[in-house]
Amino acid sequence: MAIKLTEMCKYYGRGASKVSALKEINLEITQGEIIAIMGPSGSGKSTLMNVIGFLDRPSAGIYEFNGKRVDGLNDNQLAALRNRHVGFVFQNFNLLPRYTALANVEVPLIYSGVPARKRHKIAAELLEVVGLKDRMNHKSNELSGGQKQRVAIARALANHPSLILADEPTGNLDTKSGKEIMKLFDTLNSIGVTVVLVTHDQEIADYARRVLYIRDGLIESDSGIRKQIQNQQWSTDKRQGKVNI
Amino acid sequence: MIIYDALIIAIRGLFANKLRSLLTMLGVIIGVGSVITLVSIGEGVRSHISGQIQGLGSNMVLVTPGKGTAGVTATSLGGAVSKLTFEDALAVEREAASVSNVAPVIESSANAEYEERRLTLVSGTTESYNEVRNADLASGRFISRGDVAAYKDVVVLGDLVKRELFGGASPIGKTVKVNNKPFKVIGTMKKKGYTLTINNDDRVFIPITVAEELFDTEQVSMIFVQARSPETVSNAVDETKRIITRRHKRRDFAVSEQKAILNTFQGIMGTLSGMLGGIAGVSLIVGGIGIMNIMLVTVTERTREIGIRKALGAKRRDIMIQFLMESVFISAFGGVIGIGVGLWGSRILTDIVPKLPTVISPWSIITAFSFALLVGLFFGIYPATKASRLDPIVALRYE
Repeated sequence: MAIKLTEMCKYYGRGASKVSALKEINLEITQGEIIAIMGPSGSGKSTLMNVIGFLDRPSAGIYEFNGKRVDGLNDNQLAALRNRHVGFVFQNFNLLPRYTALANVEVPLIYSGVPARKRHKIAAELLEVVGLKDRMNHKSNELSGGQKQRVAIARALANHPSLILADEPTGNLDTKSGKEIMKLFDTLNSIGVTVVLVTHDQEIADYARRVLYIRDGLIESDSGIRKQIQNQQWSTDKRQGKVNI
Repeated sequence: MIIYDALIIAIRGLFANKLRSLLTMLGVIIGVGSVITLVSIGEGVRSHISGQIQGLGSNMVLVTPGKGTAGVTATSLGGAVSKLTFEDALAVEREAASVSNVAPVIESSANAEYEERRLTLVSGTTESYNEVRNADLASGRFISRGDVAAYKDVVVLGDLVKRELFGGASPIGKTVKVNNKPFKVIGTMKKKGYTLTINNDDRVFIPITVAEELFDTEQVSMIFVQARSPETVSNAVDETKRIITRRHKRRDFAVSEQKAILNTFQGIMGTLSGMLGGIAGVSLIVGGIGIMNIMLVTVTERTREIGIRKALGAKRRDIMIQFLMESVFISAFGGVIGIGVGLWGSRILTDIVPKLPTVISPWSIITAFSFALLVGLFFGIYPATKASRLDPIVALRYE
């Protein structure tokens, strides 16, 4: 898995009312990274995540995914890419409320055409992985926040994506559940899944080995890949004002 | 995505709002039910009238004076346009090879009197009448060739006349006065019911020769001609036309087949059934608009769900199929219930109004159901398209 954005722009509207959300973003993400995208609200970090996750199309520039241009694809081609290569984890979980945990995890498998029996098996295994084996048949609105997010992660993993995109994954969770979720991302990353976190929480960003700051649609700073320990040291330093960025 | 999965998703969606789904379905249920019930009324009336026309007698050809068309006689409207006589009937019987029986009838209303008086229809006819008209005797005998030839004052009573004048007692051998002339009762007819508006039981039969004298006329109201077989009916028509034209020197009469009369009535009734079905069909369209309305609400309510599904890889087509399935399921399920309601409705109707015969026609069920499906599909397309075109980002942000 490799992502390469070259002079990628995203703007809304036309003419005088044209608003640029992203301005000439140049970014490469390689297989196995865990990267945090940070920035104040309105900076364009969510837009960047949407473009990376094929939910949105860039207005200009080049987007190469695994070496192939994907910026000109149509809706259905993008849907197929999302289905096969990307797993989304949202701040507000976005589970289907009347469905059981199991049924929720099965949804991406329905759209990739996996037969029912195999779907059940895969979904059950994934729920076991995220530690919800005994909650499988609970409806999603009967689960706690942390449990919901685990279901969402299991769902994101359903089609063995190479990329997990998490938008403020711990934003609606208490500290303890948040930490558990972050550990889960860490584990996933250790087995080779690329994780992109969008957050404005420094503690969450500390889990990432690479931190990207975005402001006004521009990459303000890119830490590059750091070792975990250095990263933590680095972020502690930053918080204490020892590092200027 | 497999259709089966889409169906499961759709059913789940519908079950989430049971009352709403049911109310939406109600439009289709009423639509399909009323199409089936109303068409069953039309069809019932049609088969009833067809039965009555067939009850005129099989392989029958009707000759009436004047240039009138099917069935309705000029004399029944009071105007004798031309003369059709007993002699004409005898000529047809003698000369036409494909004709088995000929029954001329002189009809007039008259008073029949025993102890009470009753205004009834007197039919002067020949021995062939009960053969041609499938009229069976309840007791005694019908007018014979001898009665006709010998101007015998004998009478055969229709069922209603018999009951009115004699009650339960046997009238055979008694004397009944018709227009003050005494007639000996020789037989009674079985109950036959109505032919269109004419009550076949409210009449008496006398020999045609006696009727000519009694009413002082040679004008025959109509001649019933019976062909030997269904295949020879058109020959019988041709021969009858030829023979009478030769005798009259012109075509001042009308010949109509029972089949033609039947076809005319069936045509009229078919149009009527279609019209009833069409009117009920309008309610199906209204039901369809109800489906569209609810589906639009559903799509708006489930914008977020659509966003989630799209983020997880649902293509436009997948979302489209999901919502189309819901509307089609509403109309299909409503259609099935509607068929039940329609069958029940037409049965109840006959129970409440026994005079209104209903006949369920399979095509009305098939048409109503397919139309319901089509309506569901048609009115589901717009909401489903709207759902499938939602932008996933906008949909995910929807609160």
